Amino acid sequence: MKRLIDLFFRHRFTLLFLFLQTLSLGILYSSAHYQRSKWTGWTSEVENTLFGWRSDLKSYFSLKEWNEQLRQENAVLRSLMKDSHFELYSRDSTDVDTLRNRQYLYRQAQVINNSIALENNTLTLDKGRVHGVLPGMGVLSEKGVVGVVLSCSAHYSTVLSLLHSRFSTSGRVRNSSYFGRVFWPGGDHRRARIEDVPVESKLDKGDLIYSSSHSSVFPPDQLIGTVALIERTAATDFLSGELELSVDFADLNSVYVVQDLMRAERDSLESLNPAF
Amino acid sequence: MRQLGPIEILQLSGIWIAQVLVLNEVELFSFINPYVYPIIVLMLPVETKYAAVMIISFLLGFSIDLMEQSSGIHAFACTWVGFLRPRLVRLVSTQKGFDFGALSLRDMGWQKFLFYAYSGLWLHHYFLFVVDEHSLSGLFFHLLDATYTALFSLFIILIVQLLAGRKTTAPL
Repeated sequence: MKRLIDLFFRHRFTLLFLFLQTLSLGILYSSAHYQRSKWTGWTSEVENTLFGWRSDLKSYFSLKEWNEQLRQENAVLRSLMKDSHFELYSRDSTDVDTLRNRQYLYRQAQVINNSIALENNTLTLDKGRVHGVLPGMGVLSEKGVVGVVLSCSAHYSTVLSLLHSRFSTSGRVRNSSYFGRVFWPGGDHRRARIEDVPVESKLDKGDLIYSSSHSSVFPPDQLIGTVALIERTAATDFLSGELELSVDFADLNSVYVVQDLMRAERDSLESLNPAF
Repeated sequence: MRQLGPIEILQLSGIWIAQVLVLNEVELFSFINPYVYPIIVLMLPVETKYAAVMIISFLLGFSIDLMEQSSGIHAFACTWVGFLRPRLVRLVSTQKGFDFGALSLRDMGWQKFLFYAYSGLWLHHYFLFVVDEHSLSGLFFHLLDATYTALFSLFIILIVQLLAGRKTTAPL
């Protein structure tokens, strides 16, 4: 007891100071609205922060439950989605435009089978003749060129992937009309080759290669890949190189089947000329 | 001020009246409001009991609050000055202790008095602004506010000191 009194006595000035401070703050908070609102603002902020931490912490323990719930909900929602239904008729636009003639018609399709490890890779799409898909149409993803439709059944079609020994298309070098032949030599599913590009094109690493208008399969200016490696064969005036493909075939889900509505006209015209 | 006689009390009251009637109405550049009354606490005789100093400073601040209807902020700030006063006195003392006659310009000399008064005023202004603003950011930007407002307050105090010191016999 004596010690306690001693302690109080030793700190009597500090205690007096604190008492007076408390008094003035008491006067302040009991009468001044502005400071009082500030004070209650602070305290509630501190409280809310603490509550926030607590609920954050607690939520960790129920994460598993929530995951389960979310996945169930996801499953229900996914089965409600349009993609979960097999479309028997796809509705195409029938607008009539007298200034422009629609040349390319895009149809959305899902890749339901895919291979990348073989010498000749193909894809299977969930759209077929019923949906208007026909052999010879180009297949694109939002990242670039994928392949050509090979054959169609009523509801499905197979696609000759870019990763196929029989696939070959014309690639145009960025900012120019120089072009070369793009094909896949096998092996790495992210690498293709471009050959027979004229030296004058100054093809360089990092150049983008687009589909050219020479092909009647793909619309022009669809990205194929980026030049990753240049080889120059000494004897010829042509460059060749390796392409980093823009499409990752290992991660291919949604694609578009492109129909060139004016292809018949072009083909019949070009077939008149024996040079093509 | 060597002891608290009637003349001294009159002088200190004069400072209080000047503060309440004149200086509270001054707003230099529309935001500097000088507060000279803490000098009353700072200039109390050295021998004044610590507890008395604190109670006086509280009551002084409270009286200003009553006049300004500012409810407690001056009491808060002024109590700080009273609380820190012995530390400030120690800062201007020599190793032997406080060996001036009084805490005034005349007895302490320019250098020490300016340091002592300015420190006290700065502390008062800082705590006053901070408790008035009541925000965390205020803790920083009032460092500067206090610096120039205290400068202005000190300026007024010096004028008063010089004028009063010449005319009255009692050293202020």
